[in-house]
Amino acid sequence: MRLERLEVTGFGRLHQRRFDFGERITVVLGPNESGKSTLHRAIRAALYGLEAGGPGHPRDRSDWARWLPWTSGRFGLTLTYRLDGGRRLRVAQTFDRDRVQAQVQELGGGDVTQQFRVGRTVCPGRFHLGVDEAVFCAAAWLGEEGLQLSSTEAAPQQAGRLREALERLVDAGAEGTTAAEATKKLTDALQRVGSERRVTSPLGVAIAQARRLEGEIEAAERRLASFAGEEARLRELEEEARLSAETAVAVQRDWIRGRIAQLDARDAEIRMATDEAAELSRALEAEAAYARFPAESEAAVIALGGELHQAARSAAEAEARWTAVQEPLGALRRRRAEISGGLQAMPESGPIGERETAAANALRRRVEVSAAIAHRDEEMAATARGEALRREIAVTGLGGVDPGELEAAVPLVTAARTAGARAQGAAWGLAAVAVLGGAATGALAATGRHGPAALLGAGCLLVVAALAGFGIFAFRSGSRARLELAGRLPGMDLSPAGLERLGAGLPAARSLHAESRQQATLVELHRAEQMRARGELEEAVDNCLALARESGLSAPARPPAGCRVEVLLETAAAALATVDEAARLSARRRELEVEDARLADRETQYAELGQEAGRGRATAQAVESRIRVATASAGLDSGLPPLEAVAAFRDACGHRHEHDRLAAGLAEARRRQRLGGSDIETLTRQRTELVADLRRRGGDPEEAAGDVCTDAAGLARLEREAMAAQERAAGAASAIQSLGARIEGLTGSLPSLADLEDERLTVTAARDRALHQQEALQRAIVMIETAGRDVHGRLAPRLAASMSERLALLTGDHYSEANVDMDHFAIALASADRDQLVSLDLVSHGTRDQVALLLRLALCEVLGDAGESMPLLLDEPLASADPRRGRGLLEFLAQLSTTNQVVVTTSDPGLAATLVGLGDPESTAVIDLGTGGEESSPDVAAPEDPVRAPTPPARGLRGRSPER
Amino acid sequence: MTYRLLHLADLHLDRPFAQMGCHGELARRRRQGLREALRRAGEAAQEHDCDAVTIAGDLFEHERAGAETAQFLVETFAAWQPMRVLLAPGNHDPLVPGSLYLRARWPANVHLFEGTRLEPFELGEGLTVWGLGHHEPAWTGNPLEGGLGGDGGGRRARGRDGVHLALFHGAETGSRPAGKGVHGPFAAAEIRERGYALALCGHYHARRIDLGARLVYPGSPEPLAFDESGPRGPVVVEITDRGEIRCVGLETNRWHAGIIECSLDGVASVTATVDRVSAEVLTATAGLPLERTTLRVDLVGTVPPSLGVDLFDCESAVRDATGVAALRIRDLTAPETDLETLAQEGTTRGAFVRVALAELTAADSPAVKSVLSDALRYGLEAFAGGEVGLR
Repeated sequence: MRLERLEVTGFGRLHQRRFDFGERITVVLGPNESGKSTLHRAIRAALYGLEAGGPGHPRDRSDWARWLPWTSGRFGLTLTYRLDGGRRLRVAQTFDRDRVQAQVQELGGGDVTQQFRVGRTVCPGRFHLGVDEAVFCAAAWLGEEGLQLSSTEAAPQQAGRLREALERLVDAGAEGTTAAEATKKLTDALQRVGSERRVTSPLGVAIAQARRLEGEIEAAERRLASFAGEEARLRELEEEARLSAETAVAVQRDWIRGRIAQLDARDAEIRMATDEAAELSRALEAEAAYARFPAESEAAVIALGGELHQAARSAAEAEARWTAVQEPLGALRRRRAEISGGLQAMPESGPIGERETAAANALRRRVEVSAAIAHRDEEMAATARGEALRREIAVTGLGGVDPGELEAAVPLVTAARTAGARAQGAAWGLAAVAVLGGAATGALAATGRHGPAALLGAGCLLVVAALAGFGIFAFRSGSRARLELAGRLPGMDLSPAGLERLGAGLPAARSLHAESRQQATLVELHRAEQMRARGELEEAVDNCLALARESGLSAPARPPAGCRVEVLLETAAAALATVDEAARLSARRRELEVEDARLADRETQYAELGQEAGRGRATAQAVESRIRVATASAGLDSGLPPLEAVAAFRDACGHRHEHDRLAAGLAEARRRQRLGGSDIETLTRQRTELVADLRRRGGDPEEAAGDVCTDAAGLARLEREAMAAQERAAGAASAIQSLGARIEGLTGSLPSLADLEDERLTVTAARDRALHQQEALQRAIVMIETAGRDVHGRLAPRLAASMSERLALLTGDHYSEANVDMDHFAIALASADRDQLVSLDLVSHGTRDQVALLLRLALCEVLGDAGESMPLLLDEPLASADPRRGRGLLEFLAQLSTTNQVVVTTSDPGLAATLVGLGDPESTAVIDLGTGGEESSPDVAAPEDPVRAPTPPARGLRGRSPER
Repeated sequence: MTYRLLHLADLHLDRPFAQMGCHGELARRRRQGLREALRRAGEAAQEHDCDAVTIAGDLFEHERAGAETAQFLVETFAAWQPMRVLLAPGNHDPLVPGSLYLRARWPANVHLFEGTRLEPFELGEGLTVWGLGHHEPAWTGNPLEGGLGGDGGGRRARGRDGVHLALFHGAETGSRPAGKGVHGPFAAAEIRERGYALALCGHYHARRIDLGARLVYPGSPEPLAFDESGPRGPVVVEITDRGEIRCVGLETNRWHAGIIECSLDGVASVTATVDRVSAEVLTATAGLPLERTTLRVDLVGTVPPSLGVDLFDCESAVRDATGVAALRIRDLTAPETDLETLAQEGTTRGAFVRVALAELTAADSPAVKSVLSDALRYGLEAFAGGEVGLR
């Protein structure tokens, strides 16, 4: 950016002035208070506007008020400048009180004001240079202190100041502080907040107090809970006392009601006993006649009466039984007479017992078995079958042939029959071969095939010969068989037909012969068995006869030997029948004897009944006698029948008992009368007192006392219950008194939860606030450190690069490169003469000044990022510099002006002349405010039209206006 | 016969006042002030020849009220005899086991509504008060269900003549302030529908006498929060023999509270801040007894980054300067510097602002946002070179 012209309508002391700037260097010359700084400020106001106050910042304390025109008139200015790309712009700022406005006009173009507006402010400098006003001020608008470091300071301090200034610019711009300082302030604030470990710090105190209060509140809550528990216990005791008192009163009321009821009962009792005694006396008089009746004998008399009744009944029953058996007794005696007669009529014989009967039965079964075998007719049947078989064998025509010969003839018949058939077959074959062979041979021969014919003929001859031999052999075999058959079976037809019949009859004959032999064997077996059975039968007959004789019976005679089986059987049957009859008679005798014995027993029983009837009668008579004695002694009529006498005795005893009962009742009534103890009057008085007492205790005497105990034990129990309830009530009352006193004593000293909670809320709020502050401060520190590392790390290399670009040029290649430390922007230079970087505090003052200026320019570039060269506005930069350093710096500025326009103010004409001399005359301008500076140019643009054609510039004394 | 009732609610005996900046002796004075408010209510009732005092809940705070409070209430109510005292527990003093209501031995003139549904209490001939008590700290049932016009009791009541009033602690849903808990919600229209001549309610701390809706909230007799400003006190309810109802709100509060805004525009130093706030406080509390006034000051406006105001120190300084009993200051100011512009700087400060704004944007919880916002303010104050004022 190159400033071309500034036209001031009114700005501080400047009024209606126009200033043209040199292309590279402009020297503003003038004494103090001539407006040099105002000129610089006006340029800044043109580029960035003018702060005119706002909320919380009154206008009269603003820059606007400070730079109000000294003279009346319009407040504004117009700056014309050219950008590095060639665009020319004119910005007109009007700061009138009632009219603050700005306009940017591109020369040769249109109004571009909106491109440079930030809010209500139009600030083209921010857009062209890329830095805000603060950075612009810090970097490009420099007074002496900004450009030239104090020569009185030591080099390290100077380097430090430069580093710090740079760090401040990088961290917060011109008006702020460095990130490190900001962090330090935040750390200080953190220290003020404190920490939990620092128990004396606000946070430490708050946390400690919060913990203490938590404990105190917990203890207070426990204490209050305990107190509430005691209160509850007091309520329980009060309830218990109330209930006990109520119980005591209720029980006392019950006792009184019971006592009243008891008195009422006693009163009624006394009255009733009196009435009862009178009545009993009257009844006793009626029974007085029986007072001495021997009632003590009542039991004995009654027992006698019962005994008599029993004896009479027993006697009657015995008599009835005796009467009832008279008829059966007669029949029984008759039967015994019959049995006796029957036994006498039976023949005398030995006793036949069961053994003999069993033996007879066994012999009978044996005889029957043997007889059955002996009578068996199987032998006859077998014999008949044998005869039938012989007839059947005879029918076969082979009856006369020995069965052995038949067996031998069977193969011979077969051989004879086979040989005949074979011989016949061979003859027939021979004939056929001869005929057919001859015919074929002839046919072959006839056809002229003699060879085959001969061969065939020879073959046929061989076959005929073989067949003839075979037929002969068969014939001879048949002849031999027939000859042998003829010898064995003489008379048999051995012709082929006979052979065929023989072949058919031989098997049947062989079978019949076999069966005939079997039948013969059976006949022999049957015969042997019958012989054995007869022997056994005879033995059984002998045994039967022996048994009869052994039983003392007359047995039949033994039949002769060899008699027929039937005779043996009859003899055995007769002997066994004798035994059976004897056994039957023996059994009958025993039956009769048993019956007679049984009848004898019964007769004895019947006799006992008769005796019993007699004894009953005797007993009854004895009892009657005793009754008569007893009743007579009691004074009863002795003429009464015994049982009536007993009844009369009992009746008299009843009267005696009634008399005694009445006497006892009378005594009891009199005893009860005596037991009442008090008279009716006393009872009534006692009752009245009790009723009054009951009423006093809230009871109702009229209430029914149905469920109230009236007996002494019940009343005693009620008395005990009442006493126990009273004791409980008293105990509870005592406990209530002590607990109540304790609670009352505690009530005033109980902790106030509200107080404690208030304190806790306050402390916890302070703690939470401190923790919040701590966290926020720590977050701020972390964010600043992060941002610082990021920005420093990003800017330091770029600053170094920017400085390095100009460093060689300005230092005559003495220093070629600059290094900027990322932490705190410590600067070191690389020298061609040295291997190591040279710290800024080790370089010369002049170099340090140059580096400082370069650093600011670099900062503008780096922070700006707009790419536009930054004009340098230097305000009295060398006011206190020694001539050597001032010269050096001026040379540096002259060289720097090749890249950045320089506007220097000075009150030293010599310095101005030097600078003009160092620069290119064509591109250098001098503005002399000391002469004519006060005059206003009538052509300066009016506020109403801030952008208009430029007017001729104010000319300096020793410079030329820059060329357009 | 004309009846007069003195209706109050939300006394909140034994309430902590730390959130109003009161602690220590001052908090105890405030709690004592609540007790005095109850005594003054009794005196007012006697002055107005009231037949009964009705208390619609939150008479005390159950968690903190102890035997001493019970003793105080018993003695106070006993001193009002023969005037009846009708108590309807609320959500802060519910009828839970261990409640003072159940532990205290109330004098004969006290009637405690223990049912969870409105139960009648015949205060006089032709005047029935229906009341209920909360049995849990967060009861959300409709207090007007049951009782008059409802099941059971309602049928019995329909046969009765006279005026029926409802006494309960509940939240009228049509006028619920923001953030107020919903305990015993009901609609105002139900009062008329159920047949009550008036509902004597508690819960909302602002007074509301709405005879059109037949609803009376007396409000808290003493301010319990900064936003409970203005005159406060119980309400005298008069029921004529013709059933007409008149309500008069009394102003018996001895303590005052309020919230004021103080702009710090143009203030560049802590001293100036204290002066500005003190001036605003004195202006706002003109005519009020400063020793019984608690205030919250919201600082607004824009302040330069270099102005680091330590709020705690500022509160102390303003209290000392003005004599106000308690003071809380909230810093709602905004930095004078445009953060967007700062964020465009290539400096470390610009990078810091960018990082802080980015984290603020990404933060999802108010707590984190608050920390980051304060961190940004602290950082800017530090970069400005001034003292960092703790917020």
